[in-house]
Amino acid sequence: MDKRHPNSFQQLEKLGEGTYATVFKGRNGQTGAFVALKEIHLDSEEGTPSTAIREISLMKELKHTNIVSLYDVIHTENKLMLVFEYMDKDLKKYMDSYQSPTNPSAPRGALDPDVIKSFMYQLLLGTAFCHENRVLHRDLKPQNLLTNTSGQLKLADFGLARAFGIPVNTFSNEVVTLWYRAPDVLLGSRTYNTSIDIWSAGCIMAEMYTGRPLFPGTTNEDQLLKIFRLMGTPSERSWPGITSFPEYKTTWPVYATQELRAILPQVDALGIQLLNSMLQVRPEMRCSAQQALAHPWFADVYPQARKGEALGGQGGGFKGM
Amino acid sequence: MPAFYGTRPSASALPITPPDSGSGYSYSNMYHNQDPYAPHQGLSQLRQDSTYDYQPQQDYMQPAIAPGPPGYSYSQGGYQTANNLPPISSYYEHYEPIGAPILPPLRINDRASFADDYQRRVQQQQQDAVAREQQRQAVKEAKATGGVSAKLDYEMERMTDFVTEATMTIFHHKMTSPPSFRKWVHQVLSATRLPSSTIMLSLHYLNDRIARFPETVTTNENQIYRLLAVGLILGSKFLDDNTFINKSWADVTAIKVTELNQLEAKWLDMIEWRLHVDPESPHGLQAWLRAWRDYQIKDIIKQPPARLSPLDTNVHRHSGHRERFSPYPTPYSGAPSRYDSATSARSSQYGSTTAYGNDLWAMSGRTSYDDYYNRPGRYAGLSEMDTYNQRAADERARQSAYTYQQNAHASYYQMPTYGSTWDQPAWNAAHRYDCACTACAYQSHYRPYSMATGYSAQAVMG
Repeated sequence: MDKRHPNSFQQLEKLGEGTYATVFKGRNGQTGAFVALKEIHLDSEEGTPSTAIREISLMKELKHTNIVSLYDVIHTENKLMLVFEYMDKDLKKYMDSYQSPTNPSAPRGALDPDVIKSFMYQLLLGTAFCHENRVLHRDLKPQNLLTNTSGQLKLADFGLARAFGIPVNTFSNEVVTLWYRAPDVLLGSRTYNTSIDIWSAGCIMAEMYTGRPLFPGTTNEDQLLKIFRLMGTPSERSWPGITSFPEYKTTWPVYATQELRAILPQVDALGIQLLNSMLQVRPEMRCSAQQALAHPWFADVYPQARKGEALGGQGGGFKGM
Repeated sequence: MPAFYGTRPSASALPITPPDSGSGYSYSNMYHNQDPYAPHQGLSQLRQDSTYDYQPQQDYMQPAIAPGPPGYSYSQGGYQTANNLPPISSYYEHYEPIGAPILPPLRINDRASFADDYQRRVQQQQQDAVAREQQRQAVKEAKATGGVSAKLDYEMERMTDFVTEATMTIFHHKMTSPPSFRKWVHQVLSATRLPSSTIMLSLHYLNDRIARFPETVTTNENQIYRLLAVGLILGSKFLDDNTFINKSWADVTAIKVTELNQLEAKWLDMIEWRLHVDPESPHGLQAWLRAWRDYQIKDIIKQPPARLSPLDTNVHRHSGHRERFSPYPTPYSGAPSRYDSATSARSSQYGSTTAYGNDLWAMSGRTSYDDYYNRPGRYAGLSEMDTYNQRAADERARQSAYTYQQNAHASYYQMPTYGSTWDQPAWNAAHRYDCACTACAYQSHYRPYSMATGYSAQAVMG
């Protein structure tokens, strides 16, 4: 059977659906291995969607343990089929279904600290690799992080990603799902950089501790205010240049800065320190992925996670799966 | 798509889910109902005004047929006789009825207010009506959010010249009707208003494709139009956050959308979708960005070219350094400017001389001659050149049976200059490099600087 023919994969249940693509679980007819098949309908007026062009061209260059692998692209007359590495669950579903066995009083969706540390480490490894390869993911959120029963975490869905490094004058600020969108982007910045992915990573870290999104805003404005309520309303003094952002308002209520520790008492001191350096409202104050990886909080991360390897030998698979 | 495996849990059972503001594949599906031509009088937002590159009749609102640029104001009659080859008629036929619909420039959150200037506002209103009409016809269903920059980082005429010249360089091909090609380029660029880095990336893709897959490319002129169009589509879809659908591209390029789709798919498969190039690679995109920068500078300075520029005999530059994304010819050996093209046109001309001379004066071994001729700075000046010309011409008279021998290496790597393809006798079968006719004599000593002269010189050569 021709490996590149769509029929060489047995199509199993649907895993998800979006405007442009449908994802199925699939089985490789030759090897029997599971794959994820992302089917993109080709519109005769649109040609190849730019999202597909980016996702494919960027993922072809991003071969890393913590980035989901793109095995193949099958291009037919009216559809594109992307063959991806199969993963069991996205982080959102994983959290939704998780109840800590060791701490029954923990809220549903909150993960155990060791797991959080391992996931965060892998998330940052994948993100650092993207940034080293001049790619902004621009849509980091639990739904786009995939996990498997070995405790691995991988970045997926590069449909919003873009290359940087080529001097351009237009970046869209319609990026990143609202809850994980950095304040500079919310303020209308079009010159953002890798720091927007770090903000998202910080939001995800807090969410893994509580099981709830950190800033669940409803609108752009509401999102900013939710951030300010915690981080304090920025001013020209705390953030020189903020008044020149397109979305700057003089009518914002003035909030004082809260202690993260008070909102996230379950996080240890080092963890709070790391979280603080990722959740800086000023983009230039946020740490880089590399700096975050070097943070002492990760000193005792699972050695397997450190290498991005599967966590084996923990009594038949990853706990909680 | 919300998530890779985003089967939505039932809403009540689980924690709230984020609104899908711009995730995955819904992203390029954003409609913009906002009329992009509506006069934004939000005077509070003046941030772009000072630099807003608004040229009402030239750039922003392009007439259906791009008017000939000032550079082409040669006498019509003279030109007609000069180019008795008809322009690629299929395009012309398409142009007239279709025209170039204007794609709505993209100003999502970018309410760059126009200066509060009555004339502009009136113009704006007139344009509004036209634009709305055209939009209805052409881009209504196109849901194009546009790769258009309201504020261009370049001058449209200059960019048109650059792209026109660079394309002919890349294909080593002189269009039978450069003005209609230029007009087409102008039309496409004006309607799409792509950022300059996108255009350079596209030229890099085009150059790369031709260098790596020469067997897939012919210099058929129809194909040049098509490949340039698809190159721009790929550059824009890869780099710009706001892109056009191919239907819109079909409207501005007058190429059928089905054809664009096929060419696009074929190209992507051919290069295995590898569009993410290293922007720092010196022979890749960097070279184009640099060439464009230099082109602008030279165009601004407009100083008369030196009577004879130093020859480029640096063989190292052209050998061995072929990286994946740095094919020959680089835009440097290519034709970033008219000035440069004169230089390399010469080098190719005399590259041939090298081979010729070898046979002519073959007193000693070939190698020593090669070494000698390859030495940089070999041709010290015009007088020495004249001497060689003269000698060569004399020899030719005696050895008329000698068959013209091309130095393949030199011709491949050094010929591809826009100038050379336009006005260089060696590549016109009619005139050999050592032709003594007046036209060639003129050519070999005085490089036409302005475009207009270039054309008239060509007219002489017929």
